Amino acid sequence: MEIDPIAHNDIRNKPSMSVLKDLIPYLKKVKGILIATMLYLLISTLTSTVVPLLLKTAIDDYIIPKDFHGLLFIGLYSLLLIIGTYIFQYFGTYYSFVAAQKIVLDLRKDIFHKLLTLSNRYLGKTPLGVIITRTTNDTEKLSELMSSGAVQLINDAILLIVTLFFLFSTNVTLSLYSLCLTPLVVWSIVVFSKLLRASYDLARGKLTQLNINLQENLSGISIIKIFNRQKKNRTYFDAISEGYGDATYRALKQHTYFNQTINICSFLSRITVVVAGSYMVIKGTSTIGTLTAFLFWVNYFYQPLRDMGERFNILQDAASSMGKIGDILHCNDTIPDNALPSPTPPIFKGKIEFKNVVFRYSEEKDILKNVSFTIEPSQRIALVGPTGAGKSTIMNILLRLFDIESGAVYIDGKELRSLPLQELRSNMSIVLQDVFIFKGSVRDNISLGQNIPIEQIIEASRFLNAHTFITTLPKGYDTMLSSEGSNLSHGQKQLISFIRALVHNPRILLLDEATSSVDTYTEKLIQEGINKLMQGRTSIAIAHRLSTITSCDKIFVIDQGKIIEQGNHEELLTKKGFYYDLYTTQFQDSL
Amino acid sequence: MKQIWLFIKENSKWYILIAFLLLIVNGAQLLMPLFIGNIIDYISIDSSSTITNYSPIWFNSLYFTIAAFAIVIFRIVYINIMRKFAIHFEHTKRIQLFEKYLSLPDSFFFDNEIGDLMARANNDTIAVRQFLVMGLLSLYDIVILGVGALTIMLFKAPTLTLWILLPLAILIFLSQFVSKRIHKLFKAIQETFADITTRVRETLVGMNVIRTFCRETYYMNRFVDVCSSYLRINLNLGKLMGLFHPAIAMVISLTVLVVTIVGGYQAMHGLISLGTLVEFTQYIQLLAWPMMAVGFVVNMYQRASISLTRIQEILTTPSADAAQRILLKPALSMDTISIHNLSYSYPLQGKEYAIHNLSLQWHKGESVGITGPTGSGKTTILSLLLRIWDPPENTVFVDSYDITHLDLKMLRRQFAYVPQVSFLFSNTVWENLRFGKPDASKDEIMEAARIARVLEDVKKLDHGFDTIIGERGVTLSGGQKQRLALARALVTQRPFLVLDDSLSAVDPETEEIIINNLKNHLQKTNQTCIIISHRITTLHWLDKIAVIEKGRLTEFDSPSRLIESKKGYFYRLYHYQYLEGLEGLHNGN
Repeated sequence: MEIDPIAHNDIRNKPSMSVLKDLIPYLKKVKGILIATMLYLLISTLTSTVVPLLLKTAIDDYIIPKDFHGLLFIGLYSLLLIIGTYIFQYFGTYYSFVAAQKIVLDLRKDIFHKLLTLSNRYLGKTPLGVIITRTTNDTEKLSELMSSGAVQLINDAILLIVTLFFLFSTNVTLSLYSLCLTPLVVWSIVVFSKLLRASYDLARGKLTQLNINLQENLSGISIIKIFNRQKKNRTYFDAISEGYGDATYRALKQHTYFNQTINICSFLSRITVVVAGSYMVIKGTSTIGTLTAFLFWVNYFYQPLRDMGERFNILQDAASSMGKIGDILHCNDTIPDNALPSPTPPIFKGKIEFKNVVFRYSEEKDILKNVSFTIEPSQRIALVGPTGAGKSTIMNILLRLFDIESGAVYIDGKELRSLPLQELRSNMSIVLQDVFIFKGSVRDNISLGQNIPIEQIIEASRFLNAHTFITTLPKGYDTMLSSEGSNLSHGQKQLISFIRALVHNPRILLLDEATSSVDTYTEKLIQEGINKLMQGRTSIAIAHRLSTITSCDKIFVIDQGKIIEQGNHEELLTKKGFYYDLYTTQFQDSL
Repeated sequence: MKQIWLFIKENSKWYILIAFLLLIVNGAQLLMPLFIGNIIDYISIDSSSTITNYSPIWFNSLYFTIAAFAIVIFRIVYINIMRKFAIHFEHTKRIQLFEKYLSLPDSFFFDNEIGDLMARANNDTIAVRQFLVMGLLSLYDIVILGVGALTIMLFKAPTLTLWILLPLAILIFLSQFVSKRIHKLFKAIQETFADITTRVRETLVGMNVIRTFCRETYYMNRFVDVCSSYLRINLNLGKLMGLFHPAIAMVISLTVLVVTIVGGYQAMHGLISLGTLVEFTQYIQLLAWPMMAVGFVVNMYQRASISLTRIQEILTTPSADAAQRILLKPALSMDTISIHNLSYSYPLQGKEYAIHNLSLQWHKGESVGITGPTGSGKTTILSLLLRIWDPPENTVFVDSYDITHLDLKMLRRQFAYVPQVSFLFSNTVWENLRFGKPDASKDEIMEAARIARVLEDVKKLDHGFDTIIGERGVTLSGGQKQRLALARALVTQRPFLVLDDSLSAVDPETEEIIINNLKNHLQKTNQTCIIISHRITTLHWLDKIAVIEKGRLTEFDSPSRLIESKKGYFYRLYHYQYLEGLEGLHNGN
């Protein structure tokens, strides 16, 4: 694996902070909580910075003059203040959690809701892992921003300002001495924040790469083993893991350098305060109490600076996550659904009409070229033709999983796009070759959460000859299936998917190679079941095995995006055209 | 946690050096308040205006500065050394896990979610690494700084120090109370978070099902349910955090208050000096860190020990080959394959037999087809032959060797396997095709692609063989994927070709061409071949057909003889698929 196909993909340029404006509507929703949080924190910061001032007063005004009553009095003051601060901080912390979690919940809902409307075109070209990360980890980053990043940043700013206020209002000269290293601190914040941002980005990128490689290796693990690729894949993974280790080491090392630079500045400021303060005490321009209070304040002053790097890191992270989430939320690539569903959805008769339909997945190639046909209600239709001819596309268009380029599609004489999506789709069911099983019971997988009585489910599975196999499962219809469906064979999954389609009582049934992994007898039984259940309803089937479709009312032969022949089986055979060739070659071999 | 101590022991020289450097740093930190106290004492002796000699101030601040630089420099040195080791440890564990995953039997992966296995290799290894640096450092700090500061304070002013322990007790009590609950909540949060991930994942994968059945609202509600319980748990955490976080600052303030009042009283009565009082306020700031760190270390330790247990759990799971006594590595000729009285039931499905007393035998160069109803055990036979699941002893033999006694890698090297569901890697077509034989030449790959009838398809892709496919690449149709998987297997040129219903998504016309190509290819190479299929067109040309019904072998003969017998499953299959077709043909005419 010399080529690294993911490298170009994972280090995304960080968006500017401006993307955070997308958060504003979410912030507005929790405005009250946010204001309360801020107030609580503001008050608690104010009260906690007052403590050194009380200490100063205690030393200068009561301890040195030996006034114990006064000392007790101010002690009582302080005690109230300390407890008050604690209470305010409790509420401040709790409400910042509330705000953060509410915002994340709203964001997750919105993203999920958006996902349900995004076009298949968009979903098809975006890797699964990316969308999952957007809904889970990226939203989590924003909760971190709310609960520790932004709130703390404001808190820090208040602490800085209040501390500066106390410093200067107590003793200006000593304040200037204690702040003499500030330019160095500011400089190192500027320099390191740039460096740190770059190195953390690099480390994160490497972690993503590690995860992608790991996920792929685990998904394809049996292939790797059977093809004996263990050594080569291990070597590759080793290199990625090592790269991640190096990047992490570098980032953390820089972080240590930054922390220690701030530390040394803090130490030197403290000793400066002591030396300058001592001289001033000796000269009588300051007091020991002031000096002691200053030692506390200098600490308060450096604390937020030390955390600044981390806070910006969180902010940066959140901005980059919000940018990516915004990409999804602002994506216009959705399936348009203008009409509102009527309260009682109409039941379709099942007449389908395609008029000069042109369709393409990508710019380069038209998949359907001017396709026109009519299907009468309750007809049974088969689509036949080589791979890539456009058969599945016709079904995707009917379900509006994809929209057409030009031309028009009508159902019961109404233009497809004028129908509300829900009305349209609730009249159709599809069975696909690849079956997806949700985590849940067999019953849930059939009903998909709709309130369908078990009798109806059993009846449908009896019709499809699947009842026996389901009852042999450990808990029958209540057997839990995993999302990978590993406890069922491929053919059994197709059976489940069939029952699923039929219990939803469709007026139009679409079958896309639905029995490819089912043995011939089961297939036959399924067909009989469908014939019974679909009486008076329209069905369209794609089949490679022509023997399964001979009894259809009409067969459309499709090749390279065009309908080249249509008619029933007998008519098409007499034509001796494409269908005839297809049909005869399928049986020639075994002669 | 034994692993961690073992690792430290192995590198004991370095860790002793680190401990030594830490001792210097902690010592320096402990001395700092003393220097400040000395200065305060000096200037507060009497009426301070009589002082003319400033050198004690300068000397003490010089000591302070030296201590400050020593702290900063040594800290950089030891943190970096520790980090190097910790990252090395993390990397080693991760690679061990990766290797282990590759050696575990496939049955393991049915019970374990990929997401969880991934979490063990990254989140858990990272948690251990963090403990190895910050956890160990804080632990050391608590002991040396905490004990050191308290000792010095006790020595300087014993009564005052005892008073300080009062507010400290509050903190210790609170952190005991909170940390257990926080730990529980963290676990619940992790689990719910995993649920959210699962919900999103399944919705995305099953999106077309949800859409076509109009079940958006239901799945939306399912999702909101998990997210809401996630919110609830987090708010509980918020309450505890609100209780605990500000408590640290509160206790520090309370301690300062105690020092001021009790110390102030003592200073008034000349029991301690003013310098000692100021010194104490500094020591409290120094103590603040170890106090905070107690909760922090407990948390980190718990996380790391859970993580390490999770890692070790995997590392101690027996590998696919571990049950083996002596592993044979004979030169296999693959002359005969025989299955003898094989009965098998899947580990999780109790006594339900998937395969029942089955015997089969075939020879080199023979091609065998397997067919039978859905769920009858066809794939199970292949899984046992390739030891994806282990068959019982003395049931499956290759060249008269019991395959459970053979080295797994060497056994599998005999098979070119095309799975039922084709999995391709996110990489170029080239890399995917040479997956099983990295040194395959361009011609070999082109030839395999031609046999699998996928050469034209690949050429039509934007970048031909350099096009990236897989999840992050261009989307291929099901048939194209299957044909690529077939080509990938053919490139390996292994003696035994295995197709598990691997042409089901290929249209009959293409399939016919592939079958013809395969026929010629097999003849040329004298490869043995086994094909599972439901289609008569895929099976009719093979040497022998085995019919499996409900786990039992019901027919085993050449296809022509099975058809001539005019009874049995294969005949009926032929009848349905072929004769009905013919019938259709006649009807048409």
